Amino acid sequence: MKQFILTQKKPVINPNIPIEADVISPDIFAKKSIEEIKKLIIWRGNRQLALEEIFSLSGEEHAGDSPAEIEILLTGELSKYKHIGEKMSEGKITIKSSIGMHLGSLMSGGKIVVEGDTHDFAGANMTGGEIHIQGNAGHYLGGSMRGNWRGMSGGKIKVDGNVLNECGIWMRKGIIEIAGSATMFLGMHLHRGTIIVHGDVIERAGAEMTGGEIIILGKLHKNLPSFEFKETIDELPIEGYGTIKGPFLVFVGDYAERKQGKMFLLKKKNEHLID
Amino acid sequence: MPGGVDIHAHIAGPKVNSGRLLRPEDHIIDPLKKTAVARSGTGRSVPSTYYTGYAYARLGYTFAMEPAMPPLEARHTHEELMDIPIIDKGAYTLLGSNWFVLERISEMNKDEMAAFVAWLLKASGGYSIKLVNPGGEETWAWGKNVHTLDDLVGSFKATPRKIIKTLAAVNERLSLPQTIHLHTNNLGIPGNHDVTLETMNAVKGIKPGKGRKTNMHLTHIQFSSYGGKGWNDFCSEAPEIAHYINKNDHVSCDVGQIIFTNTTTMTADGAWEWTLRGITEHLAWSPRSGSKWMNTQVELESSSGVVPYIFRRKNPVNAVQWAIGLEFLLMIKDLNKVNISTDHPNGGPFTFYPTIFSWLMSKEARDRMLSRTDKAAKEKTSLAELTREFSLAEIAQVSRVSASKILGLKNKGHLGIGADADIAIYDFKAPLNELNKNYKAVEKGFAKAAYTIKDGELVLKDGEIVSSPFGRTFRVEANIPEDWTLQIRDAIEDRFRKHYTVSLANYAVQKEYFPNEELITTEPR
Repeated sequence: MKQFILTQKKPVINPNIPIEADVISPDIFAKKSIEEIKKLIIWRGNRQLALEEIFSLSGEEHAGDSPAEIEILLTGELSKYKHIGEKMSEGKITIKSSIGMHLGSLMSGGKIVVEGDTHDFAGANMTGGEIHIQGNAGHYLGGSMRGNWRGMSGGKIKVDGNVLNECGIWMRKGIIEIAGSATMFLGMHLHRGTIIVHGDVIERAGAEMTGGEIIILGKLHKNLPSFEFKETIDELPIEGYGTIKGPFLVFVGDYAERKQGKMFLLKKKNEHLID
Repeated sequence: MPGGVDIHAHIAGPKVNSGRLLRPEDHIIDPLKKTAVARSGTGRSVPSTYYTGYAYARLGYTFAMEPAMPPLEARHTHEELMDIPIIDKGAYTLLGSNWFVLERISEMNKDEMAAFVAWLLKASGGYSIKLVNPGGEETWAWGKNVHTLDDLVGSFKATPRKIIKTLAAVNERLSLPQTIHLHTNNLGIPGNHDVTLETMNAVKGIKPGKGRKTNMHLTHIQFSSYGGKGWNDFCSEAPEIAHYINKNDHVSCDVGQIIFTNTTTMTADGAWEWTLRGITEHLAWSPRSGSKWMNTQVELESSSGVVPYIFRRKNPVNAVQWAIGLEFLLMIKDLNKVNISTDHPNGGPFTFYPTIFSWLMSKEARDRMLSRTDKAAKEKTSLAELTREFSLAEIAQVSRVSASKILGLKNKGHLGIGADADIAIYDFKAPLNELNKNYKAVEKGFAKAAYTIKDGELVLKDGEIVSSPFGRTFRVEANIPEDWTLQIRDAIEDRFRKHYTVSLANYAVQKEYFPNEELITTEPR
């Protein structure tokens, strides 16, 4: 692995101005010397800045030809940095703090690890690769870009904390696993793919889903009226994940769409939904 | 070559703007960065205004017409046209379902009708009369549609046939530079070719105005040439319609070629957009509950709709549609009667014109695409048998010369005396006599002009914008005698007081909307 360490020199003066840092990606670093990487342009509001004006860079002399061999390490106060790892296909990015919007959107491979929280649209429209968020995630995690009716179509997202609204919206393939809780519209418009939530979910999970599966191991406070209870099963095998012990309540829906989506709720916490 | 002329491209106006709002996911694919001379923008199927101008210049096009402007929305349309750089432009005024016309059509006073049309063209800053699904837009306000030429329109005594004939006659009476620009009834529906033939027959007797033989322009004719009773036996009737056009001199057309891509359909034919929205529920690419959509009624004048659509090679209907457009271009003998359009963005963005050129110039390119499409394109159309290959001169004919003749533009579409210095220079990087074997070079060469010159000024060099002047807005005024208007002045005022949401004084577009204009005045007969 060829490691590049990017350390923010000093905190951003006006934190309200977002920074578009889509050049921070192994695919763009590849085939460049460290001097060329320092000169890469990022946008702060309407101003262009070279990477070295904000970060101090250290690492190998040359990044080599293969993005798969590149590891980028980011430290600093980065919650206004957008589009990091956008469209990346190989390699690894590790972020030591919280990060801004569109982290790893449209990525097709590689791995991103965030040791803090992420903002909205993390992993939006991704087609492959892996994102591991050790803090909390914002809205639209693994969702779709604005207006797109075809969302995440592959890859894996793991969140150790909680997520906000519309997680996995329009998802077509892949796995999202959330260790904490989710708020509203979990898996809205879900078409295919799997969402696993270990914590509680507030309400409206699976709204307008047309396929795929949502697994909730905590309490779903309120279910949509357009889901029907079908049966109870003891355990649930999930492709690419393993088997989860139940028993589970199986709901089918959304009846407002085609009735091909499935929601598996852990029985001991969700008995209130079948009374 | 002279700069390209696009006769029919939805580039400005309220429905284009709705399309922009509806498709953020389409913009993100093709952003345009700011340079020292060019502004930023976003592109693809519904590009922003500046992007539109630059993209046309990149193709070597210097003229484009917005084909559907409801007079009530003329202000918006011209505001956007003003912001499209480089190209010359204009807009067609929608008249097919105007209440004033519908109401007076049964007891028509010819002077009165001509005066009204002339007034409306002037008030809206339009270039010619556009009819979209004549009568259908008004019927759609009541949730219905017209299906034959003799259906009654709403509560009026008008029928589509009467509307078309009346406005065609008025058009020739006013000696407008272009004929009526017609989007046929039943557009997009299987088996609509008989209505199209009937429409062409209906205006046969009307004497064309000075300097031209045609009295009707059928736009995006590909969408009006379908056979079969339903989507299962959907087939091409292009040969029959092309035969009519070959035999008769009174009809011209543009093709409305489709491209296999993700695009946005938008038209003033609200009823058809609603039908299309229903169709998308059953297509694999669309969400199960159908694609997103918009539909609008424009008071007493028109309607409109927007629906995203993806043309797929493996969809039998799309494959046949693709073949029909090319059939027209290859079958019509007199190329003065036909020109290329994609009905941007309905059949595909105009940026795909170079691909169409390569299909026309090379049978090999067509065959290659034909082998990749659904077999219906081979079985239900005659495209596979057509061996014609266009020369560069013929490409120039269908991309600029015939369009400017149909539009009645004396200074466009040629490089002779009196022509504007709108010039496109292409570099194909291949021998010119072997372009039919080098279709990729054709596509590349046309997609990025080496030089584009607008009014004598170099605007584009090697595909990069080097300067960004503003073109002119073309509009038409007919010098009608004073006494024709006297009879209708009160009626128009009354109509506005009773039924419009704007007052008459705020309706007409004033001269500030035409900072650079080219006014064509005509003398009515």
